[in-house]
Amino acid sequence: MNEVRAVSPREVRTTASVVPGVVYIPGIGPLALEQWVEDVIYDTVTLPTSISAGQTFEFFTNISGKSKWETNMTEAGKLPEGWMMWVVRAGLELLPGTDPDDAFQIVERSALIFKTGVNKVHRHAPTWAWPIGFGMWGDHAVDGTTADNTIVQVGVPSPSAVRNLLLPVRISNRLNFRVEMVFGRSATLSAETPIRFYLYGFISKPVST
Amino acid sequence: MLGYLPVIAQGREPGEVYVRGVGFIRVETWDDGMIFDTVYIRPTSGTTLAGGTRYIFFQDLLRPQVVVSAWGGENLKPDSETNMTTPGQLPSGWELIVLDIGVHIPADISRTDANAILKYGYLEFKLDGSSVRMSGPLTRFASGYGIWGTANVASTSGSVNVGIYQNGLPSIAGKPLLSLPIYITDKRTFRAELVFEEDITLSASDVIIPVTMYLAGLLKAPVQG
Repeated sequence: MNEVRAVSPREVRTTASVVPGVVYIPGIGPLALEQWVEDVIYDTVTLPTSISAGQTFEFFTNISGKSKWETNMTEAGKLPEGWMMWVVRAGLELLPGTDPDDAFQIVERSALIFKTGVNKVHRHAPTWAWPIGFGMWGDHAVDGTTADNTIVQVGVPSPSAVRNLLLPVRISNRLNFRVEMVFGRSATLSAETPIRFYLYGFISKPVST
Repeated sequence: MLGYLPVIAQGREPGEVYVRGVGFIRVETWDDGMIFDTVYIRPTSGTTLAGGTRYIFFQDLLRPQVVVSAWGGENLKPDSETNMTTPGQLPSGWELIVLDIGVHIPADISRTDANAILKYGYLEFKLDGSSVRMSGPLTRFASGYGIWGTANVASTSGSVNVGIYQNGLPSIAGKPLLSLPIYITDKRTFRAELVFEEDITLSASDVIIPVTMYLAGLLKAPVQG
């Protein structure tokens, strides 16, 4: 079901550029285009207005009642049966309308930890080091007096402004995964604030019948 | 010619890559990771930070008491300020191939503080006590990360009047990896020293500016838990 090779690795490695329907990804191997898609898994967490030091929030483990703009997960903490993913990029998006002072507190006072399995840490870094390259861009009225005239994002909102992970992370069928957001300092937000975390990469899904 | 060579290239088989200067590594046992630590810049007298003041990264797992008092929480630096567990060393069994070094300043500090820190800060990264592996003005250690945005430049209504400052463009793709990797095992010690050789004036007598340095690259850590 998760067969990734249309031809032998050696053959693909030596002839990757001339094998139709196959792409060879360094560190991963050959991916058959009929079987793999380049897509995202995402989840949104809504932060409360009062956050205490040490408080933790989790992405991907609580999907109950969420809409499509919030998540595309169908099972908490796991990919659907038969799926597999190579994560090549991961990061946070501040949603349009996020208050800049709230953004500063969220991004500068917390860290994100990407884990699989029981407790395998793949990447632990301050939240400012998790750009995804998505998000609203625009200009603002220079004589404005409200926060609505300011736009903020984790990094430049351009996918080409973000580099891929140096090494991909494999989420195999039924492996638990989550991203923990830990606040090292307390924060007081002006409103409940939704934030969205993405895993971007190559996904293999069973053929729909 | 050197710039055209990839730092990380295809391996001999699926699940393997070649790291220039290091060799072949298995993807399943390594991650894209970083080790980071925070120091807290604050005036030594009034609004003045005395010349000669030195801050050490990767050495102290505790916050200064003045920071604990101002921000609350525990004495131990939280997960957002460091992921070090052993002063000056990686935990047992860890290995780090450093391909990127950067220093982050918070985006929402005052222009006065951003100017002073980035203009006068000088950093040395040392291995095994004395071997300087990288040095220079703070702006030479561009972060590549941080908040991006448009500031409301003409606003006069308090907190809406924001400025957004970074140590370089917050675009990690615009920051090349090191051409010469720095290989750190749990047997080696490392530290970085941030020095301000002249008196500088900060924005307020009680201001605390957390500055974070990171060593990023390929990290090998035993499975926890």
